[in-house]
Amino acid sequence: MALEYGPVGLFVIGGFVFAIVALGIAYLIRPADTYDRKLITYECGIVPLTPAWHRFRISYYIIALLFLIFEVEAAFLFPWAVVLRDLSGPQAWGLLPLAEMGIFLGILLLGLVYAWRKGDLQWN
Amino acid sequence: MTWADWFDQLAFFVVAGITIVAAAGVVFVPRIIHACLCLLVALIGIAGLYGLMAAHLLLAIQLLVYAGGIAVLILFAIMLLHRRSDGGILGGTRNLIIGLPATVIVWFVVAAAVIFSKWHYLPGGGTVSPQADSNVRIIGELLLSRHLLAFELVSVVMLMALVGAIIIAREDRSTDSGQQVAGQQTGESGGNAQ
Repeated sequence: MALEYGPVGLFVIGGFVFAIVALGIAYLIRPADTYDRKLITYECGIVPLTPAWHRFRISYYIIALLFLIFEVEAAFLFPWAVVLRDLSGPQAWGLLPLAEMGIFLGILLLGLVYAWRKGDLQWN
Repeated sequence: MTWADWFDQLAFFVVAGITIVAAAGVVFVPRIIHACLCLLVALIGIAGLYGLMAAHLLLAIQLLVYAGGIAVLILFAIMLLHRRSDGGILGGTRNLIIGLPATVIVWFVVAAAVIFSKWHYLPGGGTVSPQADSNVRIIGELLLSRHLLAFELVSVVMLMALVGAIIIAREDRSTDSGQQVAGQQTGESGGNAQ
């Protein structure tokens, strides 16, 4: 069973190996003399005025929430998309699967329309 | 046991070990941002456990929604907080005397639920089916036929969650003028300002 995930395992191993090799080579060949000013957070070459850790605007959170909701929706698209071709068509259920997902998406689109109309997507 | 069975066992213990270590890290790591990253590893580990159980749809959802979405949302929630100290917001393990028994009780409840539940299996897939998309296919068919109402209701629930979250998270704005946004408070307004 787990052997079927061989390609996935190769991906994981490849990712780790790539990171280790890239960072390792950089560690070996880069000059090692560091001083305090070199370790300052890089901010376009300007000396940073404030620490990078500060409060973010709540607008980001709303965008993230919208993203999350539509990601859940995308998760529901998977099983639907897998069976869509088999279930659609005159031999099976016709346009019913398409309509079912249409209703699903339509209800969710109301939320996007709501956020849009209420100005929550506006960036100011 | 064949060699493949041994490999299954090994894979389970490796993935479960990573998950448990990461989950412990969520609790014990001092900085909350590191705890969030540990949570990300734990969620990916759980996705791996789903994969070993051949629950491919759950694996996809776990990776996509939890590791991709929820972790980002928690990171955002952390970044919305005040900075408490220079090293970031610190977590900690307080209330160990209450927390430990509570954890044990919850563990027993969950364990009892797992042991004593009657598990319903998908038709045609009583045991784990090794075909990559077979149980996704079965779930898709069921969602579009027998569980259609639940499927559409999920959409309604998510709509309510979306609207509710937006209303709670919305910044302060001038009273009931839909498009006009007050906008002066750049990030200073509280989390649940009305």
